[in-house]
Amino acid sequence: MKTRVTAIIVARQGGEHLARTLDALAKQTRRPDIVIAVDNSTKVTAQAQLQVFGPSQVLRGGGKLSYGEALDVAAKAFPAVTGPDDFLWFLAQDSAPAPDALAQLIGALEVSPSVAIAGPKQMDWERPDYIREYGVTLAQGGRTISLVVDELDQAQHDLVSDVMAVGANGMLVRQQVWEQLGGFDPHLTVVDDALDFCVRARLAGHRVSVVPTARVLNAGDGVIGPVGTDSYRARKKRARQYRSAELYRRLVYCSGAAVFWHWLGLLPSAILRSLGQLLAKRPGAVSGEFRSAFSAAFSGGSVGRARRKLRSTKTAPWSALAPLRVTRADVRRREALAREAAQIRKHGEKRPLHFFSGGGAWVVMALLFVSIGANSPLVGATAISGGGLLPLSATVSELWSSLGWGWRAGAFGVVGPADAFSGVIALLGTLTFWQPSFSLVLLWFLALPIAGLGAWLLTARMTQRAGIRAFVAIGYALSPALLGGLTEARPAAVLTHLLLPFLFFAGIRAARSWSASATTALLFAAVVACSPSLTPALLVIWLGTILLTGRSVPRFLAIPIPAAALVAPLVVMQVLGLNLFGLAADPGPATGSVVPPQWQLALGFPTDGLGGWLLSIDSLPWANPVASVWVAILVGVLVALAFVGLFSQYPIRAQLAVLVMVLGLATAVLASGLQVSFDGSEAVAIWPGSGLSLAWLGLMVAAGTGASILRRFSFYPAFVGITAVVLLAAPSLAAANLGTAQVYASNGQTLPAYVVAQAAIEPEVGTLVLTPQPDGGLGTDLVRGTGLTLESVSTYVTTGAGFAKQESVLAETASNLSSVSGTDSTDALTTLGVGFILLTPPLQAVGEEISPDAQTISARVKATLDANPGVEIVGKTDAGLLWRFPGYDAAATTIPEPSLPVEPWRLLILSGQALVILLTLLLAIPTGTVMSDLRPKRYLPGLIESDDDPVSADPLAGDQDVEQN
Amino acid sequence: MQTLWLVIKMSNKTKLMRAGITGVTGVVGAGIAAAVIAGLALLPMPSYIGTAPSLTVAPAPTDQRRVCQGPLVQVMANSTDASTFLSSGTPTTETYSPSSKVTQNNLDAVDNMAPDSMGAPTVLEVPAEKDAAEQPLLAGNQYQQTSSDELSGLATAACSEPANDSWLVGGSTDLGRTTLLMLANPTGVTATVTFEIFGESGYIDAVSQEGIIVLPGEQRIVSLAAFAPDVVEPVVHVHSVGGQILASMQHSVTRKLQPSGVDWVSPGAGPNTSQVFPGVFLMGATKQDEDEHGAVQSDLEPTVRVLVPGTQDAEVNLKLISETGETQAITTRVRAQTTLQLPFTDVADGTYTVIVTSDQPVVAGVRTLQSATADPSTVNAQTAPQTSATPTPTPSATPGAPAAPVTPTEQPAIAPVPLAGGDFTWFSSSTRLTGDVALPIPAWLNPTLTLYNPGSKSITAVLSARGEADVTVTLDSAKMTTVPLRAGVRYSLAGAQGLLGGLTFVAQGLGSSIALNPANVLGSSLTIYPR
Repeated sequence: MKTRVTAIIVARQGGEHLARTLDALAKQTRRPDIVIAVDNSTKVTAQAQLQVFGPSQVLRGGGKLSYGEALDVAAKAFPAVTGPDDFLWFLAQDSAPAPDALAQLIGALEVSPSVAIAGPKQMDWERPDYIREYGVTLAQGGRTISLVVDELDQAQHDLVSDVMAVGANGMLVRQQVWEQLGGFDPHLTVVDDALDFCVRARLAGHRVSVVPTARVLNAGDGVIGPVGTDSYRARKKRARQYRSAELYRRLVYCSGAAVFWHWLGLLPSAILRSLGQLLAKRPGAVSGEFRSAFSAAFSGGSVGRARRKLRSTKTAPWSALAPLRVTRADVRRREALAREAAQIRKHGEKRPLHFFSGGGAWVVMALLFVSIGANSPLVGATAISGGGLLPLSATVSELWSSLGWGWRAGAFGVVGPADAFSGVIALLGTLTFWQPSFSLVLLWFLALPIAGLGAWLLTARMTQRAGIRAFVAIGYALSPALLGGLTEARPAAVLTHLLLPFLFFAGIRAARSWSASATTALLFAAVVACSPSLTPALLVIWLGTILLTGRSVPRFLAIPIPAAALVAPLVVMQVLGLNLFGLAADPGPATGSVVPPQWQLALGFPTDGLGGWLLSIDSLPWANPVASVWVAILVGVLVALAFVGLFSQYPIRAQLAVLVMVLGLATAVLASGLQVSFDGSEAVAIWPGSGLSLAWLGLMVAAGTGASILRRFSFYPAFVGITAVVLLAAPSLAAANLGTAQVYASNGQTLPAYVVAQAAIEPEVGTLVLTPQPDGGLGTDLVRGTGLTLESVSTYVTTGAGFAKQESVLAETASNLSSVSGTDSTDALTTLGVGFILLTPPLQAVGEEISPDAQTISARVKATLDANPGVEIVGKTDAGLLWRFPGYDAAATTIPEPSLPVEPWRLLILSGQALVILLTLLLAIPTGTVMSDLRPKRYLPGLIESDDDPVSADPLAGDQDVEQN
Repeated sequence: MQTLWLVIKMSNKTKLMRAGITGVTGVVGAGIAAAVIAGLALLPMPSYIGTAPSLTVAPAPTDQRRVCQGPLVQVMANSTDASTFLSSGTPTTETYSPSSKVTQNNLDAVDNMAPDSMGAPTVLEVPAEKDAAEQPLLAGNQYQQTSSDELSGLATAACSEPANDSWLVGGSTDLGRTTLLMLANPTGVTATVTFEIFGESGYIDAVSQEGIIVLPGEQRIVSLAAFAPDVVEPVVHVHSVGGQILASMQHSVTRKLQPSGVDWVSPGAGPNTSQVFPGVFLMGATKQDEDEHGAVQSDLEPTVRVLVPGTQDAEVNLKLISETGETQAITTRVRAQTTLQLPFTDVADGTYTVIVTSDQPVVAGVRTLQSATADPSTVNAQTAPQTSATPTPTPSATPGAPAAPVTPTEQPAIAPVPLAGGDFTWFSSSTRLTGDVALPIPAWLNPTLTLYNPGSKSITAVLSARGEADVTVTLDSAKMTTVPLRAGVRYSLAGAQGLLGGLTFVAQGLGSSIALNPANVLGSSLTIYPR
């Protein structure tokens, strides 16, 4: 019987691919009898080429047809079926067949009449000896699996013949079967069209086989199947198309009873798979999951039609297909191989950090010993107090309960947003869940080693030299900013200092790995939470990096999102309250410290007196010129190294580091002029140390670069630098032992033990804390239970925002208690739920003695409370003079009307923030497959140190670290 | 810069060019960085200082009450009962309340055998006006000049608010010295009064712990010698439970059978790290006795008596400011709970503000001497008002006779007699004024107001009286001034918030002082910081 081959060639555009395909078609040893060309180009660009070839017919597509639809167009021109040996051959503009391809395919079909569809070996267009696709099958769950992907053809697959399905490219199909099955499913427009067709053919009792000797090239133009380019966007789109098709086929293939359940499961499975995609570092695939689910769920009757069509032709049971499916074990093996291949392709080989052999461990150990020695008065403490330190809540659940939105501690009847810092503190306290306040003690002891570790890791990204790594690590750990934060007891500033090097460590890789990007985003959020004043500088660095290095990929652009989610409620409230400067306020309790003159800030010292070098604060600014000159010389050593760095073989890194330093200094100087939060009557300046931490990091990186100029002898400048830094730090390190530090070991209570004991029985008992102010006013605060905790303090309160009417109720009560007045305070105290009244020692204005006004008001409060028959004196306590109000009754306490509603805002804000953080966390967890980004790396010399020439380097990154994707 | 590098790479030029560009960019970068850092370090930067949210709350006004301690008393001669006393003349009380009439009621001086007509402790009262925003002003000052066989000298005191806690720095129970404690209870509640007495050898643990019962409306007089005999430098802390009391002291000295001065000691400011005495007049300050080794033991020398009530020794600094702004200072260590009298060494005659500062809370009092021969011209204000009377001694004033009653606006009728025994003056420390003050000036010679500004900002106060020209006083930080006043005039002092003040009276061989204290200090408006 004579065979008749009708070749259908679909072109979307003319050009080289089409020309080569037509040429190959013309050279076939067995030429097709009829060639039907479909010009599917939008501007009829393929028309001329096709006409020249001289097919039987050239049909017009119009540019929007899928391959299946183009076949339907061509079908009108098909000759009538005369017998089983009428074949259709599917080709596209980019499917150049080998000269004997058609002959081999026809041979396969002629030999076995049960085979209805034969597929060629699809070879890569650019590398014709690589197999692009050779048979397709289904996983157990219905996922499409290509049997062979990108393998060198060494005839290793030539024994395979029966397969579940073949790709449409170069597919030879009996016209009879084609018409019996009704062609490709119109809903499967891009992927799985041929797969679905082959599955239906098999269910109709036909066989599908591959023909190893028939080869067809495939360029992946997207005429048949998906576009084959390897861009991020194309990969994302392909993943969506495959998922879409899979869900659609699932609905079509499943039994009638299960359709509904499968349909219901579409959305939940999309959500679950989205989480999986995040864990697998493919956040871009998330939207695809949902689009796929929706397109499958609302396919407009396609599922019904497809099911009817399938039922009408189906003769074999599904179990007949089972042996052709790929097994789970095989799927796992394939994935493992793919992962490995991607790893190798991306990184070549791993380069370890040499943390132990590179001296990192020694540096950290040495810093730990220095830290223990410097903090020796705190050894054995279970809690520390002083300055900006407050105890943490006693239980982990209380720690987390103050987040988001709600009643704000430290002000009466005020509802508002929490600081993002509360979250950082809650996290910190959870680390020592058995006693959250203890985490602050640990922080104080581990601050130096952790800062050193961070700086060491950051330097390890840049240089192999142990000496320079140690120099930068020690220099950053002993920076005046950190030591100032430690002696002045500022936990937020200390945390900022520890986080900054890790932020840059992760940030350098952020553009290349989702895990690093998400980690950077979390660290960015933490730094912004700890030091809002650093936000502008960090955003400038972020924007600058985008503009300078073209890192405008989503991974880098997304970095500020978690931070934005955390601070959004506070920003909205402060903007609405026209308290814009309040956004810069340091979190935690407002505690003033003497703002040093600008020249001291410029030398890197956040505290007055150059970190203890000028012993007397009262003396004139230049009273201790010798000490000042010494400090200037020591800082000058580092500056000189940084200056040399500008002329080293890595000048760009030094330039950027100096830029970061200047940004940090500007932040520090400008921030120290902003007095936006209030400790009673006293306006408190923003802590300049956070900006100085950033500046010092820049200085150390630049100085480390400068030290590298001597190459193999770089140990010597590094040693000089270490000596300078250690000398600079010596007075600050001695501060705790000399007793000049603000931080001290305590029992972790802010209220007298008498109140604490009572609070154990009555957790809501209120203590009215009266603090005489330097201007003669009286600070009034009603605290509940055991008193203020670090995580419950918020800048919304300390910056004076959201002043509520209820606060005047408290003010009046305090005023009448502190006066000889006709008003009896008993009722007010009962209503407010006050059980105790505490008169604390007078507040001192920063750097001054207790003022006479404060002493006057202190005496007045004492006199009036002593004479008040309604309260009983308890006596003198560590926290001040204490009175007891015997009329306290928990049941009689009236909760004030909140200034703003707590719910539903609390729920909305908390769930929104939790969602963002959880998703970022999923992305940050270093798991999942490496998604290789084959973007060519850009060449920029002068950033990475190594003895060999830096051939390829990202401008900011090193490539000498372990990939921690 | 990066494109620059790319260009270099592309052109594949030599390292020389690369080095050149590195050099140029390095120098330019370093220059820019240095300029910016220098600017940050040296140029003035913008700053923003927020205002803390606060509420000013005025407590509900209450009735105002002042207690005057009554006449000088003498221990009854020839009596077997040592605890009975007899008035020695009648004090004159000047009162002033701008808002309403002052009502006066006598307290029952149960230990005073003399009838009320011989003078009695009085309670001055004005009611709070209904719905008034501010507390009514009320002030009273009493004075008495006496010259009997037992007592001679001038005593003045302010009528004050009763309190639960008072510190009296003054008195002596040495031979020939008499110190009487007067405890007046104007409240409706029985007061149980206990003492803590400190002397030059420490805390005196001889006080009955049961305390002295002072019934409502009563005044009790007790001799300090009954609790602490032979103490040269006592300081008494008077504490009452129940009703609030006015505690005061009457200190008199007799040398060689000659009465040599008398004064009332009023409660000073409580324990504090600074105590200020505006208007301390020093004249004829004799050189310190060589035997005393720094501390004053003789009551013939002016002194500052200091006590640290706490348990830690204190570093005490004594500073004198004169009107010309000169300051003199000495620093010494004072043992805890032991009184010490510091000398005025090499101090020229004149009026000073004495400031005692310490690292621990202290209480202090100042005593000055007015010997019968010393010339007071150096201490009295030089520019007396035109209308003020020239002091003309009236020889007819017989010693011991009660002073003639005077009407407030009249010229002073009493003239000082240069008493042979001389006089002394106790200054109690002043408290910072918190509002306007009413100043009824006793009709005695040379009333002088001394004001001192302890704050850091300049303060302007206005002294006004009906029929008088307003006197405006502007005081810079840490400066003092003296203002001569007209005797018997009722002044109002406005805008004096933050100032410290004292009224002084001095003539040859006579002198006394009244510390200015804020009126109704416990009822004034408060600034509350509710966060």
